Amino acid sequence: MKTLLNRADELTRRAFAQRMAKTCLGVATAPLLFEPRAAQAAFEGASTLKQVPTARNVIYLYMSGGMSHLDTLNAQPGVDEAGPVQHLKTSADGVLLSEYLPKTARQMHHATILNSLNSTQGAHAQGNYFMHTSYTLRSTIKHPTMGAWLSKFQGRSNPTLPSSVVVTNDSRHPGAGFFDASVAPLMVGDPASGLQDVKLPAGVTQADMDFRLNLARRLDAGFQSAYQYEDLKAYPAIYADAMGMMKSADLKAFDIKAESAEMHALYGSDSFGQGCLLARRLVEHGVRFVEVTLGGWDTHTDNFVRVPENCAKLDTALAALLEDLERRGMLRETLVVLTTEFGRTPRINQNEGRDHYPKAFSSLLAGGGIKGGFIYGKTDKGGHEVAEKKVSVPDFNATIAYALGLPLDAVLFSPSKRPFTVADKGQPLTALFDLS
Amino acid sequence: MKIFSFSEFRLNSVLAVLLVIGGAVQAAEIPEASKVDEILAKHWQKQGVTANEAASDEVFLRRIYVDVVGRIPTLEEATEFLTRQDPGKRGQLIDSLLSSPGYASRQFHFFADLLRLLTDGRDAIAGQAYAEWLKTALNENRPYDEMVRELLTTEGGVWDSGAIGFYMRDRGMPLDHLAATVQVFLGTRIECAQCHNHPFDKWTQMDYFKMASFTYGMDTRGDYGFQKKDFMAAGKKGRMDAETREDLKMTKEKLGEVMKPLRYTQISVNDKLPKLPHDYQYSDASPGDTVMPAVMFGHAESPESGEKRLKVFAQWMTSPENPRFTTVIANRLWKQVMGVGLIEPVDEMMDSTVPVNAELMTYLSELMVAKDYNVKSFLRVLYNSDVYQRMPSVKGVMLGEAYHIPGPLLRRMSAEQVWDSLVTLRSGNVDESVLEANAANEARIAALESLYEAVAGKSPVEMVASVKASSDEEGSSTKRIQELTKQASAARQAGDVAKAKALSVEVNKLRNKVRDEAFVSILGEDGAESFEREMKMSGKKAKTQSKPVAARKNFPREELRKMMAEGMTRQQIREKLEAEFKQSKTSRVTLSNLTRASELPSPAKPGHFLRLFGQSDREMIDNANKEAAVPQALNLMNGPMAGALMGSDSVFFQHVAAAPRMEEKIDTIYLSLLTRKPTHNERQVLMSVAAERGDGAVEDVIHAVLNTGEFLFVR
Repeated sequence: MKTLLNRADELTRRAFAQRMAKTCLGVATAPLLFEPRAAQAAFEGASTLKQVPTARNVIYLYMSGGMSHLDTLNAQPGVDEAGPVQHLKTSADGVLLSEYLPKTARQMHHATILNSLNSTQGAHAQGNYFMHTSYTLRSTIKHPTMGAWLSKFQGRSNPTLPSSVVVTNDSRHPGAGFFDASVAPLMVGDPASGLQDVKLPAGVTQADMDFRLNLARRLDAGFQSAYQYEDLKAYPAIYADAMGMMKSADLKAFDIKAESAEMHALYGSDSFGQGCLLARRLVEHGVRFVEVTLGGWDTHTDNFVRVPENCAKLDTALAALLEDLERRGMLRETLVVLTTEFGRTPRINQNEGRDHYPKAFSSLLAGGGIKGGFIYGKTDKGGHEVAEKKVSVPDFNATIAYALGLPLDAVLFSPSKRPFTVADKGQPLTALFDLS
Repeated sequence: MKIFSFSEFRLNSVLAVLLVIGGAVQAAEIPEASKVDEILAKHWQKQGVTANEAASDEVFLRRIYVDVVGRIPTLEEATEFLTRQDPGKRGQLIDSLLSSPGYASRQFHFFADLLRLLTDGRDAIAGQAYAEWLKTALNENRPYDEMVRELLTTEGGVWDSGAIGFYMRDRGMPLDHLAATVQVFLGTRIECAQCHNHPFDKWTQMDYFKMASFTYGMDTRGDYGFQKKDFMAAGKKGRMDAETREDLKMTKEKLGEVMKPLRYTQISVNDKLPKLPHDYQYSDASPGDTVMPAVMFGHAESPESGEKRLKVFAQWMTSPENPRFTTVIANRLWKQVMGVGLIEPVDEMMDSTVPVNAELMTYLSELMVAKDYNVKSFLRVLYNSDVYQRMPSVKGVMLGEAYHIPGPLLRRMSAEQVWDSLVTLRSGNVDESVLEANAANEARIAALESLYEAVAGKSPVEMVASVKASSDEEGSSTKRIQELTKQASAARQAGDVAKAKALSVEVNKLRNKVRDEAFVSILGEDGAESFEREMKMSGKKAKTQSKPVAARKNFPREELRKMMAEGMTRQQIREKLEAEFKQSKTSRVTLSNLTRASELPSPAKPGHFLRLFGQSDREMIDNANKEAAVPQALNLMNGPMAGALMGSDSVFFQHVAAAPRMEEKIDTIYLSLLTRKPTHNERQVLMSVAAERGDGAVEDVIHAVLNTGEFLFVR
């Protein structure tokens, strides 16, 4: 069964390597990718399934629990459904935002808001899974997430760091799905404590550790040569990798303590803000896909107390991230995604809350070739129904994959020999990309 | 939990008889084991394969402990076995391990991985009850077919049986659940046929829906206790005055809040049947057609009632006549013991599947039936076989290559086996922890049952009356909540964050008060109080130490002395320790609960030692892996486990410390970690280490041996 998988895999890898060799050879030449593309004949006539990447990295901010669209991105002045929420003008002409996001409002010239998302899944686990994988939750298979697809197709860009990292406490993250562990995102629970077990134990010097591992190799030599097993042979290799990582100069990417006090203040001292700061550091060091989760959006009760509290964290961190990436010249190659499993009911319930609402909700994209100051899609007044340009969850994910230059039509097989593609059958929203 | 079932009694009496015969018992004298060896001898001859050498006592000892009780032997256990001169000692050890509590702890992971058993998350109560049910069944050695029948047919509340966890696992996904059931018990993949005819096998979408039809009536949503339908009917009975309507509405809203804890704790059977999907594309039926149950092979009735359908399904599934049910479990257990199945993969069987040795596969299936699906008895035969007690093959098996079983395969310990071995090294034998009941969860279940009972017996009218009795004051609370919420948003708009926060705290308090009142109206004052108390004990047993003491505890004494010798003041040392402690925040989590893996959440949290070493996430069937990964190396080098082994409260470290001279210390380290004494060459190397490194040599050697392949792998 693995043979079939490997074969399918190999074809794709080979085809892909040829393309990659032409376009980007590792980190050093990467900036070439992001030169103005005037000479490249834009997208006209090109297949929407293949393209030159516009983004090298993704920072994916996931609002767990279902972020209320009306109280955040789909600001609707003067309707009953808005409840007590006022709206703000933003740095982009004609783009309004909820008053809960004042800092983000000043960054809207970098971002596109999508107000016409539509999901088929109305429960948390199912909606979360669908948004992360483009496939519906099944108990017989686990589908890969975007970070895993990215490493599957394009490998690592920094050999001593993982290619994707997820900052979350959710143990149900689908991660690598049915792909092998080598493309699994590294899970980080607490952004402030950095990477687990990379520091020498107390009282042990590097020389001690070198001595001990050397001794281990000597003692194990007989055992290692007595048995020819792939899984046994893998151990000396991972010990070498582990030592490489411990001594890696890039390990500091995980240490947000190295950031200035101003930086910490800019991003916010809560776990989400710290996670966003970590995400920026990781991307700087060659990690290409970083997800940061913010929970607490399941506001069935007291929506207008809890949403602004959550928005305060989101607003500070998101605005800081966009501003910081822009200042460092990284926003052009880094796609920032803000999304959630579904929106919340326009009708306010008896507990001053809003319930699950997959029918119409909103997300935001910024940087990585995405237009600034743009709104895509529309709901009716009050945010009940999608009125224009409905976007399915696979379409949304296809757009992210498209920005990364992933082949949307490349079929890979699960171990049970079933065919899958990066965003199921989603169509990328090419209108979101800035062609200038 | 320590109840002896008939089957265990049977095994124990066998054991007693064996002990009387004593020394006369030899491995190969169990006739069924001899039969296995006989079939294999023919097979080797035909294939031109030479059997592996016989395993030494050391190799056998380490392997049998890891296989049966899921951990390496302790120093005492190893010394006792290796020094005993008794030709029957291997058979005796097999029997004593099979009847020890470590057996249930080890097999728990095998079944939990197959059943994707989850004990955390929203259905934690049902999940933990399910885990307890499984441990009890394993400890009592209940026959496998009986266990499966119980899983397939049990309905009711979590207070009736933890077996409802089987359907609860795939709550709201009956079609997916059926595919999982077929994969686990029949080793057959039909999930493709949920959406279209199977492309590589013979199953049609219609076959799939007919099978799903048997279990479709298992309603996992539960009715929350009160009769929702009666309630609705009462509401509709026309000519209701406005006041009554208002009362009913209020009662319904309040009950919703009160009944919340009962969510995900009950399943009930109805007679519902599945309908074909709207895009059904084959000519034998139309989209939307209702599908009656029928089995995918063999014969079974197609009864009208949901309850009967489940019984028929369970009987068909577990019948010895079912060609796949017995083969699948026999093959899965053979794989567990030998390292590779006679049929691989173990869960993709088709009509064309041929085992590597058909005679042996047939014999093992017959053996399983003859043993009445007694898993312990079946395993006992395999452990006593001559082939099991041989050295592992020198070469691993490539995927797709046939393995002719000249002996078992070398294998890496599973995540749970590594963890349990390390925990035992540090704390001594803690196998009995698997017998401890999950008292916190049992209390929660009892509380839920009393809530259910209180509600289930009441008619809608009684319900309204009792809720209303507590409501007079509540009406004003609701108004107050609305008022405060408005004030809070006004305060926030005015930029007064502190005031807004204070107001929202107030709102939450009031809301809790309203809920509490509703509880009192249903359960009475005392009942409500004890309900709250039990539910709050959310099953979190051990608390982590929050003082720097925790760091000091795992800190080698030598290190402390060294620091003092270097002239560091106590204050400096404390600061250093506290810094270490802060840094090891994540480590605290990994070390918080040093007990058998079977007593930890299933699965452990991401980042936990168990997950680093490949414990299944319990999302997919049989999803554990033994692949090498960098975090494993990092953990064994720098992680808290290695430190804990070398701490002064480590049993293993105490043994090493008690050994008088370096030679004995080295022997103790080798026996404890590798279940053997060092060779002459190793001893020479290690003595030179001692000469070179002085006092630090002991830790150097321990740390080095811990980081060898030989420690992680079992011959």
